[in-house]
Amino acid sequence: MVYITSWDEFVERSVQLYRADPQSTRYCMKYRHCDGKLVLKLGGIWVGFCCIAKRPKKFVFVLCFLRAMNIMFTSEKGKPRTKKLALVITVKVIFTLGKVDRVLGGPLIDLSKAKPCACIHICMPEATDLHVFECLKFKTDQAQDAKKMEKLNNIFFALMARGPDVNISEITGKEQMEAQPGKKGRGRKQ
Amino acid sequence: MGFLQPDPFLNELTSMFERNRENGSVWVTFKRSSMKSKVQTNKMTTSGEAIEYRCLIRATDGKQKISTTVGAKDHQRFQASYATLLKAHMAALKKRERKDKKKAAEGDKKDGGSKKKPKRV
Repeated sequence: MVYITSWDEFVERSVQLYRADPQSTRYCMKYRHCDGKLVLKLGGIWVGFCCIAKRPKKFVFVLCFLRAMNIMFTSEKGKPRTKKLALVITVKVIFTLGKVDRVLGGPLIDLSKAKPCACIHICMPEATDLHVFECLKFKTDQAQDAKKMEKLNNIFFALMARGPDVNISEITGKEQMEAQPGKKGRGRKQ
Repeated sequence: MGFLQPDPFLNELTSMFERNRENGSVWVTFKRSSMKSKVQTNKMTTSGEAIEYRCLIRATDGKQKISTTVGAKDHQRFQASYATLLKAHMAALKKRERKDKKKAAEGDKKDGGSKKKPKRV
């Protein structure tokens, strides 16, 4: 989980995260009136992975791990196993985004069909360009951020109801159009 | 309460915010959903049928859970009502800019500054 300090960065990354996996990404808002705090969270229960080709030993390690995960996620009859088995993993390796169907002749793994296991945290100490996108968070106690959040709410309403391919600039453009006509009619006619 | 239509959901959400003013939190979650079971959605994707997705909105205060769905046609009306609801209830957040301006104005007055800031109406 990452707390993001910049609002624009949070919006951009959250839309990216949503578009990467529209079916499982959730947009949550928590408000506490007594403390005057607002927290926004973009949760994705989705873990991607890639091959580290440069270091053969570690590559083999990843391969073994992926095989283990495949066994874990599918029982003998091909049905997904329960979440509890995933907690057994204690070794740490961080995965990155991407789809890997076959790892050098290894088993066919389709993690998109696997049941979500938020407890899988795997870190490899010297690995490069590896990220885990689980969650993006933004916290604030400022009223101005609540106003910005309204725009983000509208963006997500459109993305979720209409589809992830909706053009965001249309949504923000429409809001501006709606806001402007309200000012007409005040004061002198020019 | 459980699953409600959009308008009763907004009414319940209003009362949820009001009940949790002194103490407690309100969580609101948005998620895309076809509102059908995984088996059904898989069948529909394999047969090539178009799946109608909706935006599932859930709210809870830790004790009570309510939810509703909003489709592509009615989401704009819902989002406008939702926005007014939030504006009305999220009053506890700090209004930083005005305080800074007030302090700056007071500071100028004390120093005997010649600059006068025009009042914004």
